[in-house]
Amino acid sequence: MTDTIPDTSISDETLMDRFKEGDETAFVELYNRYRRRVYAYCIRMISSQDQADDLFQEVFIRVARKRHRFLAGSFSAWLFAIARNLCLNAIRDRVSHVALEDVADSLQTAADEAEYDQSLEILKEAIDHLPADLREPLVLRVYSGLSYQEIADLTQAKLATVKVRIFRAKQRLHEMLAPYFMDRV
Amino acid sequence: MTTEELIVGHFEKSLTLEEERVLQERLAQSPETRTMYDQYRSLEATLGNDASAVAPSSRLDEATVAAALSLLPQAIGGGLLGLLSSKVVVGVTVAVIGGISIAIFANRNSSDNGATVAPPAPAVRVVPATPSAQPPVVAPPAEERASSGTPTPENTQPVSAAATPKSEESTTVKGAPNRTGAQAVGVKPARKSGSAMTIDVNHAPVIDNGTHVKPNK
Repeated sequence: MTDTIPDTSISDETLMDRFKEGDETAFVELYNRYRRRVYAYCIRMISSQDQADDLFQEVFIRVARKRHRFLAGSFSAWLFAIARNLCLNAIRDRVSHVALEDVADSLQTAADEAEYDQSLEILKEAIDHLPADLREPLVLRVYSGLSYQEIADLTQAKLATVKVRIFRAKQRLHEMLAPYFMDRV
Repeated sequence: MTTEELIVGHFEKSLTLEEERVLQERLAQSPETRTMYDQYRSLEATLGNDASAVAPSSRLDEATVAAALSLLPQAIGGGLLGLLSSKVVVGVTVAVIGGISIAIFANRNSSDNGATVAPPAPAVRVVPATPSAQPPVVAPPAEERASSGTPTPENTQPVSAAATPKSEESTTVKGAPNRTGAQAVGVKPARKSGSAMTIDVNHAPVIDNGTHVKPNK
């Protein structure tokens, strides 16, 4: 199931039609196409890995359960709309605003204590500290590979807003990680 | 456009040729701009590495696909399981025919010498299919079953009811441990079409009381 080369000659929507007719291999193909991108979205939007795993599983359970409700349009957009609804519900009321200085301090402490290259772990922690309205477009762009326009459609935001938010997200990450990256450049 | 916007735009590949030229000029003139550029380059590289490293575990893959496909009508059917089922049917048929032949042969011999030889207990017991689609079960001999507590078809419960109360159709997860701890070798009849999702019994997902199938950790 993992690391298979997807057969991109068949469109997502055709596979979904086959799945609705009972073809389980069509579902597995869709799953293989999107497993990494959806998982990346869940894991970077949700701090808890266990919760992200549950949400990820729930996304595809809903795809199966609501398969007959998918009638037309982009499967990708429909799939990420499901993932987004689940994740936003999960993180609602959990957004905490942490002072930027505190985040930078904690990141620096983590870097100091590291005995090996923890850049990915530090990055993850920094992303966790981004406000949700900046984190989401960044994750959708960098981790899920969506275009600006797809992100705008999904989040029902203007294209320019999406671009600004992604810029702001990277700017905030840069501010938080500058002390760490300073040692590497 | 600020220098920072130019740098981010550069890595987003969203700059025009003119904007790229402006950025190159600023990079050539300002050490601070080059430092910022290098920091953003490190950030982009780290983001890229992280994005390529993130993936669900194989157990989460198995559990997710199993849980999703369990929502289909007549779950656990089709292709691979169909192949498995046909192999089992062939094997069972061969075993039964072979057993009958041996029994007839032994009976003849016993008739010839006058001794009574009890036919051996069948190694494979075939439970005939019923209209309610009870699965044929490969069961050990009666004596062994009685002593070991191996479940009979009557006490081998599919985990469907407890597993997916929210599902719209019945659910069965193959290979889930039964109450005695033994592995039931239940073989579901193949579906008429479609394929199969099989779950390794050694990594059988644990069903919680919701729809989710928890991967073993």
